[in-house]
Amino acid sequence: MNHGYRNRENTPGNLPVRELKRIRDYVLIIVFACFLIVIGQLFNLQIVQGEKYRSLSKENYLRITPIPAPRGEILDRDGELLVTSRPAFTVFYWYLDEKEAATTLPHLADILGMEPAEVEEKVRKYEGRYFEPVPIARDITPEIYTKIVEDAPNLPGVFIDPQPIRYYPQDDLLSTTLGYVGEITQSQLDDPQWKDYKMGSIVGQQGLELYYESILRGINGGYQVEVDYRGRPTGNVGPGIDPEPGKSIQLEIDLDLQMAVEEALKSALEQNPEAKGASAVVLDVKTGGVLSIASVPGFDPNILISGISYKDLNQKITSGEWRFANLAATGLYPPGSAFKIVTAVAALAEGKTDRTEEFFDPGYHPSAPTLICHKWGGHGYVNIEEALEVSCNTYFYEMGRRLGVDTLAEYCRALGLGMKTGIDLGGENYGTVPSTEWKAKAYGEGRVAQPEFLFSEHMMVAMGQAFHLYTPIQMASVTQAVANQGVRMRPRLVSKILDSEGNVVEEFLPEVSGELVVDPGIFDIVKAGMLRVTNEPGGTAYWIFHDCPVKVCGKTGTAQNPLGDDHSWFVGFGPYEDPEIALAVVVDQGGSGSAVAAPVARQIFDAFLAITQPQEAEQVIAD
Amino acid sequence: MQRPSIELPNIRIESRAVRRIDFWLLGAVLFLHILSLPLIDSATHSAGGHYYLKRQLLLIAASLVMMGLATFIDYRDLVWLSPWILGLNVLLLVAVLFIGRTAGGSTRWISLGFFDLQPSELFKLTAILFATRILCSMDSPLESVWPVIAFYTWLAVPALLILKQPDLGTTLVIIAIVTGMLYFSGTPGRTIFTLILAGVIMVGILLWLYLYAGVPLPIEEHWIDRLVTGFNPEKDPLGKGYQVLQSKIAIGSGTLWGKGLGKGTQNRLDFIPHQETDFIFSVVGEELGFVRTTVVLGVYVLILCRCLIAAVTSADKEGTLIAGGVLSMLLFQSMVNIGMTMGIMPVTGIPLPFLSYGGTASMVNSFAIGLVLNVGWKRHKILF
Repeated sequence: MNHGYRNRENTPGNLPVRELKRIRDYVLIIVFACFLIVIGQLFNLQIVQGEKYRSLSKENYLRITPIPAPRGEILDRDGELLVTSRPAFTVFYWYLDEKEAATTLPHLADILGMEPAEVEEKVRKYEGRYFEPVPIARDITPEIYTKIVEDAPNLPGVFIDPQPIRYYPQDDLLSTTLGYVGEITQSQLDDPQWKDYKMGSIVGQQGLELYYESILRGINGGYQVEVDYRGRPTGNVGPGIDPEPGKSIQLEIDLDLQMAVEEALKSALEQNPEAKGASAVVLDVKTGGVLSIASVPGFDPNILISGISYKDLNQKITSGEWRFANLAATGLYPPGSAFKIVTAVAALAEGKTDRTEEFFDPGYHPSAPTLICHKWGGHGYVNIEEALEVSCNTYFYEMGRRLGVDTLAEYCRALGLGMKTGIDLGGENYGTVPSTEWKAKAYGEGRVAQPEFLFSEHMMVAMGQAFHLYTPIQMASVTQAVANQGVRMRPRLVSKILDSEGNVVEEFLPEVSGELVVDPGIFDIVKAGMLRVTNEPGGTAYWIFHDCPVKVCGKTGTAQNPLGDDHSWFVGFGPYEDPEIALAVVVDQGGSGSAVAAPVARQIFDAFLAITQPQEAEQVIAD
Repeated sequence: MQRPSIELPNIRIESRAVRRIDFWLLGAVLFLHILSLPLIDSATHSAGGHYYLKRQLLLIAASLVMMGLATFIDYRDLVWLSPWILGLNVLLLVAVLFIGRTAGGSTRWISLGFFDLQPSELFKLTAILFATRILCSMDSPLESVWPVIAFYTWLAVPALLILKQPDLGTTLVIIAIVTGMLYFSGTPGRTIFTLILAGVIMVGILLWLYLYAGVPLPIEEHWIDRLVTGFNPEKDPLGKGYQVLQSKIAIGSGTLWGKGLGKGTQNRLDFIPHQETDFIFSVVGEELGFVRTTVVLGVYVLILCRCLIAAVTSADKEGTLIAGGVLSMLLFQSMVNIGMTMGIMPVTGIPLPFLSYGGTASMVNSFAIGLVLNVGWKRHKILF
């Protein structure tokens, strides 16, 4: 072949050997230097920083999907379901990257019918914790479910998982006491008490759901899932931890009685449109068990937790259709004449009067003629039982004069007024027991009103007006104590804690929360007076109770309310011979106690009778 | 025609044992070819049906044919033909402008139906052959700067055509090949060093003109981005730095012994874009671990050393320059590619020889190795 490009023939034309050796050495040095640098960086990445990169790669592809523990149920005393859980489809979003979120989230919001900003806000809260799926919408409809599944390719990171959702089979019944659940709030997350909760956790937000949160919640499980670079689960599931179901609680509440109570309260509200609300507490006299506790209006937790819009919620609250406060435990009311039971006990125990003493009521108190009785012209001569029967103000003004507010306050406290009853429900109010010390503090030090307790005020507090403020549950507790010869039982909602299989884990026994040790005869006198309220034609609740098949002891109250109409009270217990239940009924601004609260109490006693003695109740109806 | 043999004291040539062919070089390349099979299969598992594995097998078979061809054709004939080859290659590059297939924003390929030809890859071989021809036609090595610069001028047209595709990586490889060959032709190291320095300064000036003086130069924005984020992927982990950061995570997470072939999570779950082509080394690092990866790097060093031996022991200047050119090409490509996957080099889209999936590149690299085998073989043939 002709290598025509060569100028020289028969010469290799190559460099001298010495030169080639020099080139070889330098190139070798360059090659080794290059590879040393590369191996150095390899060593740096894999050995020096290997652990860091190993965990970074794990963060890339391993995500934890939590398995929420089934929340415990709430049962009534017969095992009827009050609160349970049902499966519901929940939409989750796994954050992948900004670009993807920018297109996926508005699309998802569109499908869910939410505002894109609302969805983005939910996702943004998870910043820095994007290995966790963000719950976007709970309990979606089948239509939305189908839409999301069909549009999955355009919704990277979005997935649907069945999650238990709280269900309240009785709707708004007992709602303010049961409470509701909701996503943990930011202020809860900041509270060390909630430190083992994660963002997005569903927790109790009110009532028993909140009070028994630690028992109901259980322990969440979870499993590792492998995801690809777009955050889509690959189907490879890592080790998982099964959740430990929460424990159930069984209440002292009797569902049937509760229904009757709420129905009675609701009809009272319907008949008295001016009334602002109504509440009632029914206690087991012997054990303190709360057989019923009601506050109407309540709210429907099912609507609330399935995601009600702020606008609708606001509308429901401002219109008065819904109320979250449990008036039975938090509502503070002047007790009015219902308080006369306490004055009667105090006066007898202090020896300021006895069963036989007759006091003349001319229609006003002779020492303070401005303090008048509710009956024009007075009740004439009345003893203590008759004074209770007709609710004679003048008689109790006199007892107040004899006792003095501070002695009366001691009896108030001994009977549990002005303190939390200890019911296993959060948010209880203390109330106010008036005393000279209290008034000096409340009205003293430069305040406008008189810091000294006035003569007339000593008398007024004895008939339940002026400064007293108590919750319905406190008044129910006082009534229970009187019925139980001074032994006050702690009101309890929960009787048992059950495990997920229904076995009793813990049982709460009745607990004495206080005892007023006086001559037992005193209670007999007060009970006899209270019996006259419902059984003597002059009694304030006679026309309501005269045909009641059980003998009921009661006391009405029409408490003057400086802020509006009178509050309507009825406290009582029955049967007289061997008291089983004690109750307090308050209709907020309902007017007269005997006209509004007493009929509610009557319906409650009837319902109680129907539950405990069905045959007798039927007999009465037949008659 | 007796040619003097070169006896180097520390490189013993045992012609009988070698039996004409450099089995070390051949073995090392075959080793990498075989290693590429599970790596590419693992990196492309999501395609399904082992499509890429089958294609890679075909490519290896074709590459071996190429290697054989290059081994047994007299390389001096190729050098003699190189002006025609250059002309043909430039024509192909021009053809790319008109009928080229576009992928990933650049137009580089001519579709042949069963195979996408990449003329810019071919140009690496063309450059080796044509540079050999020019350098061999000179009486003495180019020693000073200006003649060397003049020597580069023939590259201008094809290099611009390749840059226009745009393919910065291949352009840089070609410049590296020719520069390396200059060194093997006897150009002093200091002249080359001066040139490299001048090149860097010139690039700096051009960048300055483009970025701060607003001179409209044909610079792709992403070249600059890559240059910056290649070294600092953490600065923009979800954007421009994503690929390099994920690659570093992949390699780093391999630690000492790796996650096992086909078990790299970064690879298998597609966290690294282009893991079967430019970023195949991240799969090596992740799945094989430090120890085995070092062995793989050792195989590259072996290949480069065998090329070096072929170059310095060649029977003629053509052989020295061809082997030196192949050495420059492989060294530059493997360093830039591996360095890029570990965040110590800018991202320039240069595949890793023998391991990356890529049709033309595989053929070109195999043909280049064939040429080196040829050079070594010729030497022994003459010695016998």
